[in-house]
This record gives sequence, structure tokens and C-alpha cells, in this order.
Amino acid sequence: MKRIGQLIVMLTLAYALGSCSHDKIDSIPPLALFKNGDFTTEGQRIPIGGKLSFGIAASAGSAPITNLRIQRIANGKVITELDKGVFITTGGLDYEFNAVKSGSQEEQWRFMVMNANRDSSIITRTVLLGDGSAYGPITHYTLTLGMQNNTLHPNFLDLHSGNVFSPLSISGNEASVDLVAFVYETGGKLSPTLCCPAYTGSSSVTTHYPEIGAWSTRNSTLYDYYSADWSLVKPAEFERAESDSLLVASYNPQNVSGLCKYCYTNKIIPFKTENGKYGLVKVKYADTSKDGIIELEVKIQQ
Amino acid sequence: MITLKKISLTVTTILLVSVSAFAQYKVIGTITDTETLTPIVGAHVSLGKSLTATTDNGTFEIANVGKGTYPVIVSCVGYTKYQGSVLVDGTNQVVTLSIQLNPERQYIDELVVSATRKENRISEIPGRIELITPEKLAFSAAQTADEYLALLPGVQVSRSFGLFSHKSSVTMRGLSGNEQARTLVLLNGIPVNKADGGSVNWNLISTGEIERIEVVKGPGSALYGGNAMGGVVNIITQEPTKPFQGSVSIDYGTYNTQAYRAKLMGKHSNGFFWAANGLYQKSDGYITQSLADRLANPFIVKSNFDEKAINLKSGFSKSPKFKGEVDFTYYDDVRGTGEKVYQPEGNTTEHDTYQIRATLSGTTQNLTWSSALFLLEEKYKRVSEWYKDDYTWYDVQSVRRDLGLMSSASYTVKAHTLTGGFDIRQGEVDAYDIYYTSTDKVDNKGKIRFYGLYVQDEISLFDKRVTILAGLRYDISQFYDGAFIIHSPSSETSFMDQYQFSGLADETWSALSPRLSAQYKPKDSFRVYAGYSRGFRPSVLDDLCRSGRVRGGFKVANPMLKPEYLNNVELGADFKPTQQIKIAGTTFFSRGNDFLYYVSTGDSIDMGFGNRPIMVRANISDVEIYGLESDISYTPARFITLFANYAYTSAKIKGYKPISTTDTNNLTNKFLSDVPAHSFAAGAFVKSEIVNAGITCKYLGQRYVNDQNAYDDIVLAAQYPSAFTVDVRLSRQFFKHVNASVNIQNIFNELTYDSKGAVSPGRFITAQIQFKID
Repeated sequence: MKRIGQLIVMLTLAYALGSCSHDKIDSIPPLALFKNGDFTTEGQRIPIGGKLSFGIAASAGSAPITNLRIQRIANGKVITELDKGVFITTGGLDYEFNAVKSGSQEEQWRFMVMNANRDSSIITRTVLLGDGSAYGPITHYTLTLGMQNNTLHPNFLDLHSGNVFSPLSISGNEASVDLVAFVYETGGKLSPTLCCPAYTGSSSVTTHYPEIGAWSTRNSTLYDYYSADWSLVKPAEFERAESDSLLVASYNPQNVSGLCKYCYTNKIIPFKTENGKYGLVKVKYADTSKDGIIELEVKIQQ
Repeated sequence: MITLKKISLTVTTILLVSVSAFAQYKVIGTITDTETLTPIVGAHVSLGKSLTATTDNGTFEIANVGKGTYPVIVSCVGYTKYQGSVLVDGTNQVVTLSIQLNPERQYIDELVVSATRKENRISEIPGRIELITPEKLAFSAAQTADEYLALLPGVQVSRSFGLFSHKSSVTMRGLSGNEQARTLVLLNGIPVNKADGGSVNWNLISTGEIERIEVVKGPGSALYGGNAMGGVVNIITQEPTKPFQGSVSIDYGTYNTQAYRAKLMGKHSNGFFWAANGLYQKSDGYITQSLADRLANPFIVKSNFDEKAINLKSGFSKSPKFKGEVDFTYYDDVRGTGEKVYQPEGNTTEHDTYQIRATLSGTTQNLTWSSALFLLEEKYKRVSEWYKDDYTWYDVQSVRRDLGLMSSASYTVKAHTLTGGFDIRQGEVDAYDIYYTSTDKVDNKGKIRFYGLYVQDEISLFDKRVTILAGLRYDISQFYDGAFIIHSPSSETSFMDQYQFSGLADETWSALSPRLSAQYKPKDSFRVYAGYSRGFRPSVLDDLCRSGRVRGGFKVANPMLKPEYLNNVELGADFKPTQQIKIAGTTFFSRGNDFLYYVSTGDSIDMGFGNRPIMVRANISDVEIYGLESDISYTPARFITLFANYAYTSAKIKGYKPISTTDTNNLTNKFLSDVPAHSFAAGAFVKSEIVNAGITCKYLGQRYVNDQNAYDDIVLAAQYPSAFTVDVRLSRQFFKHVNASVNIQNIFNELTYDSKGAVSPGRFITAQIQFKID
């Protein structure tokens, strides 16, 4: 019985030691700074529709940088313009962000950099409303793309120019492609889908276009699927848009993805390209077969 | 002439002396069975370097034996080996031996402890009890404890990735296939289901330590309370029988899988015993994801694992009058789940587990009693990272703690054996999801406590020809300190804002679980029984206090959940037409009330990638389950055992109650998901001097993927396809202390796919060398 008692004591001690938590080692937080250069300055007045440009640099501290969040605070409302997960172990963060001035008198832009220890650094910049309007011209075109198994129509689109490419003509033009279309079954339905070359989710673009996996540059285009799902942009508004005002205003960065499902006929989808151009794409017609077509009408900032 | 006579005499003397000096004797004998005293045919008899076999009447003869002492070894399949010696001293020309061999231990009608919480023979319990004997364990190609159970009729094991699964579940009798919480699992009589999810970490139970597995089918809540709604599985581990014994072994197999095991134990004459077991196992693994995912995702890697376990046990058992034991288990694993972006080991799960138990038991003339204290603490960690549009990385960290006190006593008076006792159990979870690529942190926690009081009367009448078992248990439970709180939400978690809660009033409920069954056994070769029992399954903490993503949607915590109940009637019979054949059949009908099921609320939510249905676990349905189980085993000779079993199950929702006015679902007459209508298993165990072989096969019929019985995008059908697999195990003993074996699971390389389209490991081969110490 004495041995049993000794064993119980040993086991209890072993358990207690194993359960001890270790004190957190002091960590160095990240440090974020505005970059010098041709960027929007503190207190600068920008007219509605005018371009805002911010450059942010950050050092990681004692853990990799894992999050960059950019928020616009206007009229007491906080809009998260970007909430991006990253993993930067060396060299720090170097990021440039473009946006469009809203109609509010004063906007505060808040930039937060967080590292893997969840330590963060926040910097802010205030922008005031200038006189007049700076909404710009748009490019407007209509085109037809083939779905993934369609060999009669081109499959790859440069949204800025409206240039389209087939698998035979894409060589050398990969870096300009912003959009492809395909059909796949999801939620029990066949979904005509718009996607960007960079999307790597479960219904990745490379499932339907394996050759994209070998591209050295794969652009990211973000589609506002929420506005598309709920038809927030009306066809009449789309028809009337002659400047980029509607294109900028209808894109809500809160619910965006590189994959936009259920792009059935008459859906209108706001988007933002890799280099910051806003646009709207209207589905004039969409097949639900993999060898079908999708007919698109595009309006995009010049 | 004199000289010639002298020479002749001398030669004769020399010849006589020579004959005398090199006289050859004969050893003859008979080998018989100690129990039946019948002669054993074909037994191998070795006398020094001479070898022979017994004839049709069990006799043998070895001639030309010189004087001396010779080792005698007699071996025969189905019997324990005889080792002795014989002295041939020339006194008799013929030395006669008579040797009796002991049959190897058979578990045809063995004692079990799980069905009545005291020792009882299977044939005397009015219910369906299955026993996986050491023989079956030795001949099955299972790699994990749960896989042994797949050979039983109506028992469903869900382990999609074999050894590479980080979770597995065992269910039975038509209760939904992935709900371990509906089947109670005991390790040496102590529960190992966690209150958080009802799950069992089957990887924690080392196959090398198992002595036998007892399975009680049908509701066992009258004795065990919650979780025992579908049945009870009790895994009994080995105990030392010698002052020092054990083994060390090395395994190597497919996907560079390696295992190193050591098992040492001893029992001293003063009653003190001890045991120490260790396991280290690792594997490079394989890619589990579907081909589509592999093409889509450049971050796919192999799902590997690395696990270690140590178990220390010590106790005192001088006689059946008293036994005390304490044991400690530490287990830790890291299992890759097949995706790696930036983290050193990619997506992983870890179960850092401590288990401490202390048991006391004793027997006096008419009274047996036992008491146990236990603590099971699991620190679970899951690393999740992926790259889709941008990088996402978060960890789930959860401390799950289950502790309790169990106590029971049985008293026999005349025809009655009265058993009673109480159980106190507490389960806790304190968990959080912590994001590193956004600011979110999501906490969920809660506690649940159970108090159970039970009584049982086992009545034996007419010289045990009639047995009646009546029992009743009352459980009361309290859910408290539940909370679901989100800190610093971003778009990753802000959609869950409205589902936060804390500071709720305690939720209390109670359950009454009766049981009544009777058996008629007119002779040893036949029995028939019928019974009624009621079981319940309490809600798990994960459903009570955690909201989050689940397959197909978003799950909302429901702190108001009540337990679900199952009323079961069954009729069974066993028949042994000969000593070699055993036939068993059972039919059952169950009706479940307030069944817990995931259902869509009719609302949807955007979790950052489009609208998804909101799901909630709710007490929504009445279910009807009925089935048939049949089992036959045939042992034509001691060296061969054949078995086959078949189970049919129908499990349907009856009387679906919508959970809200927006709930447009109607699940009435839909089949329960993950329940196969047909399942079948068969096998043969063959012993021989060359090699022992076990070959088994399993068939699992089609089963629905979702509650709506609707087409599934990933499975590309409404039902999973049926699966048929064949396993083989070969083993042989070399010398006295070395055993070599080869396991081949899924010999025909049949690939199966889970609900996410992930693929099973296919054919899996391992070889083991084991060195015994005794």
C-alpha cells in the first residue's frame, strides 16, 4: 500500500508539472509608418471621386506580420476597405493602397498592422473634401467568352482593355488577364461563375483551367458577390452610368471574393481589379453547360 | 584348443559388453485432452533431436533411444504446449509416457462485466452481448481499437482515413453513423466519452494492451445513464500474471509508417502488481484530398501523424477480497490534415491528454463492490491555415475536462442479485478560436454535471432456466456557466455577433431509464430472451455553447437543448445445434423522441463567401428504427473458426416538428443519415504449425449523406456508395520468444470517399516483429 501511495504522489506531481503554463516572453510589436512619396498627405483636400493613395511600410517586430487592415471612418461609420491576411517574415511590409474620395466632409483612414503575437501598430491619416467632382471616364464594351470546355470562343479577358485571349493566343499575355468564366455544380445547381486567375479556393480556377497553374503572374480581381446576390445594382442604373461614380459607389469591400457564383442572365456584379480599378459587369446571357458561353457587358474606370 | 576356447570366450564377452553398452531403448506414449480425455491426433512430439507425430489413437513411438535425460516437447494446434523431460536409465527397455494437453483458453461463454456491472456469463444475461475474445483480437488485421468492432453485426465504425484519422466513431443499431455520443465507451469500466462532443479518442487506446472487448447492444442507460442509448462498449486491458513479463515490438508499413511498442508488467507474490506501456508511432502519410482539390490547391500536402503514449499502472490484489489500482496515461499526437501554407507543420490537430484513474473493488461472501475516481483532460489544438484570395490562419485551442466518481455494489440473496450505485460526472470545455490574420477571438465554454442513481434486480429461477433482469436509473443534469463571446470581430466572425450569450440561467433536466428483460433457457444449447429498455443521450457541450462553421452551413449554439430518448424492445435467441456451431439472431424495434438533429432554420448567413444556411441542433424529430442482426460461427476443428454475420437496419424520421415558422423543411419519412440498410462481415481464423492466418471481409451498404436525403455536390449522389473490403493477418511464432506478423488491410485496394471527397488510404500493409519477455 505504501508503494501505491508513493505512486499516486508521483503521478500527481507529474500531472501538475505537465499542466504548468509558461510565462509569455516579452515581445516586440510591429511598427507601421507612412511612406514618403507621391501619396495623399495629412489634411489634404480631395474632391468627390478623386483618387486617394496611401503608402504604408511596417516592420514585423518579434513575429511575422500577419494582418493588414485599412478602414475608412466617415460620418461616424466604419467601413473596412481591406482586411488582408499575410505572412511576412523578413523585409517588413511595403504596401500601396488606392481608393476614391467619398462625399463626406472628413474621412479618417486607419491603417493597422498586426503580427503573429497579435501585437499591432495603428497609424491614421485624415482627408478632407475638396471642391467640385473628380469622377472619371469609363471604358464600355460587350463581349462573349467561352466556358471551360468551349473551344470556339476565347476564355481569358483583360478587363481594362476588353482584350480577349484563347488558349492558343494567351502566351505572353497572362499578366493582363483579370477574368475567366466556367460552369460547375454547387449548392445543387449548375452555376455560371466568374473567377480571377489568382483564386485558389476549393473551386479554384485551376480546376477548370489547369494551365493557369503555370502562369507566373496571376491577377486577383475581387467581385462583390453580396451586391450581385441581392441585385443591389439595378439594370437602369447600369445603363445610365457614364462616369465611374456608380462603379465606385456600388462596390462594397465587406463581402468580396475572387470567385463569384450564380452569375445568371441579368446579374450585375461590382468588381475591383488588382491595380485598383472599379467596374461593373452585367451578364447579358449565361449558359449552364461547360461548353457554353457567357455574354458580358463591362463598364470599368479608365 | 584351450587357446581357441579362451579367444572364443573373450570375443563373446566383448560382444556382450558392447551390446550392453550400446543398448537402444524405446519411448512410447499417449497424448490426450485434459478435459475430454480423448486422444489427440497429429500432435507433434519431440524427444531430444527425434521427432514424430501421434497416430489416429493418439499414440506415438520413438525407437533407438540411448540412455540419458531428454527434453520432451509436445505441441498441437488448439492446445498449450507441453514441455518436460524423460529419463531413460536402462531399467526398462520401453519407457511409457502419458501426457495430457490443456486446451487453449476458449471464450465461447465467458464472463463479462459490462451488461450488469458485475461478473456474469453471457448465456445468463437476457440481452445481446458480443465478446471480442483474445483469439479474435490476435487474428484480426485491425490497427486501432475501434476497427475490431467493425466485424460485429450492426456495429458501424467511421474511420475514413484508417490510422491517419484524427477522429473516429463507433455506433450501433441504426443510430446515426457519426454520433459517438449515442454509444457509451468504457475503458476498464470507466467512461471515456468526452462531454464536449461525446467523442472518444480511439487513438488513445493501444491495441497491444487490450485483453478483450465487451459490447452490450441496445440502450444501457438503466445502468450507465447518458450516452448508453445505442449500447455500451467496454474495453478491458491486460493484467500481469507473472512476476515479470512483457514484450517489445517494431512495426513498419505502408507510407513509411513506423511503430515502436514496449509492454512490461509484473505481479509479485505479495499481491503488488505493476505495468508500464509505451508507444511511439509515426507516418509520412498520404494525400487525402480529392483530385479536384489537389488540382485547385497548391498547398496540399500529405496527411501524416506522429503520436506517443505512455501508460503506468500499479496496484494491489492479494485475493478477490480486495483490489486497488491506480493508473496514469499520457498521450500526445500531432496529425497533419493535408494543407500547408506558411506554418511549419501546416494544418494539424493535437490531442495532449492526461488520464488518471483510481479504482477499489472487493468481495465478501455475498457482496461485491467497486468504486472508481477518474479524470480525463484533453488539451486540443487545431491549426487552420489556407490561402484563398488572401492568407487566413487561426488556431482552435480547447481544454476538455471530464471527471467523476462511480460506485456500485451487488448483493446476492437467494434467487436475487441486487445491484445498486451512484455516479457523479462533470464535463467542462473552455475553448477559443484565435485568429492571427485578423483581430478576432471567439470564446466558448460551458460545464455540465450529472448525478445518477440506479438499482437492478437479477432474478434466477428454476435452476437458472429463467432469468429476469429489472432495472431503473434516475439521472439529473445541470448545464451551467455557458458562454459564447466574440472579441474584436472582423468579417471573419462578425456575422456571429447576434449569437453571443453569457450569464444564462442554469438549465436542468432529468431522465428516467427503466429496463425489463427476461430469458428462457431450457437447455445449454438454446435460449430465447425478450426485453424492453429506455435510453437517453444528453446534449453535448459543443452543441450547447458553440456557434461556428459546420459542413454545409453555419451552426448556432442552442443552450436550451434537452436530451433525446430511445425506447427499445427486442427479441433474441441463441442456438447451438452442435458444439461446433453457434447461431444467434436478434430483432429490435426502437422509437426515439426529441431526437437531436442538425436542421436548417430556413435563414441564411454570409460567412464571408456567400450565403449559407443557418443550422441548429434541435430536439426536433421522432424516429423509428428497426432491424435484424444474425450471426453464425462454426468451429469444425480446434484449428479453424469460421464466422459470418449480417445486419439489416431501417432508420427513419417520423413526425418532424419544424423548429420555427421559417422552417420549411419536412424531414418526415426521410432516412437518418450515415446509417447503412445492409451490412455484412465474415471471416476465417486458421491455426497451423506453419502460420496462423485470419482473413476477414466487411460490406457496408449505401447510406444517405444528408438529412434531406438530397443530392450532395461533393459525393455526387444522395448516398455514399457501398464498400467491400478484405483484410488478412498472418502470424507465426519463431523459437519461444519471437513472433512475426503481417497485416494487410483492404487487400483489394478499394478506395472510399468521405463527405468532403477525401479518399481512404487504400491497401495498407504493416509487418511486425515482437519479442516476448517472460
